[in-house]
Amino acid sequence: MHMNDRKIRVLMAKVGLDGHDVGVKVVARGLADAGMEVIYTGLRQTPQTVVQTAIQEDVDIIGISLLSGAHMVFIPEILRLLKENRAEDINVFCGGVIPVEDIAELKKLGIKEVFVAGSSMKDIVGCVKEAFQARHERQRKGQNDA
Amino acid sequence: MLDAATVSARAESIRNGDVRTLSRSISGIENGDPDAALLMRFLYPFTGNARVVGFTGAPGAGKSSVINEAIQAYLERGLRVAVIAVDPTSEFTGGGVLGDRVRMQVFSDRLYIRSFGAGGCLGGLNTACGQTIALLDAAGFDRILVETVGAGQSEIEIRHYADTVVVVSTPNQGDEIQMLKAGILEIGDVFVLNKCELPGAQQAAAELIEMTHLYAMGRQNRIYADDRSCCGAVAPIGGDRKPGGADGDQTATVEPDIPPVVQVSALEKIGFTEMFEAIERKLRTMEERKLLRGRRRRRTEKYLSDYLVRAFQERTLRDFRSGDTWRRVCDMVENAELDPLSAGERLWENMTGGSE
Repeated sequence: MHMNDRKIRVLMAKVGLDGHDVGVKVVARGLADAGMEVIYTGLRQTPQTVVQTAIQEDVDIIGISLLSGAHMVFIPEILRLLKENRAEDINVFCGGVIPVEDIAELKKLGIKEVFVAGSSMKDIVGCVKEAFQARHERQRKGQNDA
Repeated sequence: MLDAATVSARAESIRNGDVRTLSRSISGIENGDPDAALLMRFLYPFTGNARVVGFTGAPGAGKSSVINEAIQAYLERGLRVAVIAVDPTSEFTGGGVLGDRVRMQVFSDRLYIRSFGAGGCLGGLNTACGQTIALLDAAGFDRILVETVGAGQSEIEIRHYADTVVVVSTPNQGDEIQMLKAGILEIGDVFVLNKCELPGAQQAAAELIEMTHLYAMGRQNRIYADDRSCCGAVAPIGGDRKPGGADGDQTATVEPDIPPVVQVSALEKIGFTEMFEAIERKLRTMEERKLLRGRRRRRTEKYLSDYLVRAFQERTLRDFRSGDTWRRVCDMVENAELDPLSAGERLWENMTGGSE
């Protein structure tokens, strides 16, 4: 089966004490409308439950919504746990209320993209598709090398 | 395509509890990877130990919440549990938001939850469901809980996959006339009435109980008929009843197995010990009466006949439809020189080797 037939699987997650879930639901729906399977975790997850869920669901990318200001605590921990579980091939993007000065730092940590208020759905869909394609090309190459 | 040694190693990892490999292999099954078929060859000999419990019911009845409680009951008793949660995906875009997990907020090393988009599903189940069940079985899970998409009146495909079927309903889903109708109520082995804290619950429970008694006899005869045709003897439950011959004539001596009705409230967390016990008792009874064997036999037959129909459509029929005979007969029907029924028969004879 060709890669283009594969469904893109996305995990949308809310971490920590943060009940603002309108944004995450809008993005989830937008990605679904773009033909993706979007698994939603619900509120108040921990980095551990997010990573465990991502692995069980075999998603291509994780989208984290944060409006609590705790992004510099939770996101490095999620990236660390992905690595610890040999799952660093799963991309991570985030969005919500993120101060501009933190964006460069997050990207340096390995975050694919940061979407703040006013981002377009088209850009988010584009980012996810690109990450998906890159991941599967890497996987294919890895398999051919093996 | 991977070589057999690699796939064999992968099968070994799955049996040793490697979640990453298991998850990727399930994706492989969903995507129709040829590697997944090879993997199944290695793993299938290790299947047959898990018990599959299906949960079906209307959208919003509380299937996910009820499963969340069942998960906890199984984990508390030291079992390993896997959940297959199917949610609808769009016919137009193929995408969808899969939200069953939101209600399942238990995390344990002995728990595995996987969400599926229903895709081009029949009766509320993904086509990869059967093989995923086999994979989870081989991976050593004791119970596999399958949640269908919110079902209407007639999505009853789950009965082919589950050892026992739990139908989740709620108060105020219609009057007793709804209970008389064929469909989903015919396939329940256990009925769970969720939201029993709502007014109307007593009435709904009474109607369900009435319905289960009405259906019990007809249902019993049907199951035993199936069972006889599949694997011979049906053993009566318990030792004190008159045992019949091994030819299945003892049906009359077996008490009708009336599906239990359990009232629960996911909101107030009541009734779930009773629900757990009802499900497990049902599984035990079915085992004692040798009904599980019959169901599994039917599952195999269903899978294989579906496979042949698909293979026939995709291979033989496609070739045949590009041939001259097909075109000629279609022309004749179009010109009213031949009626469709005779045309069908003529094509069948032609295909199966009869002379035209």
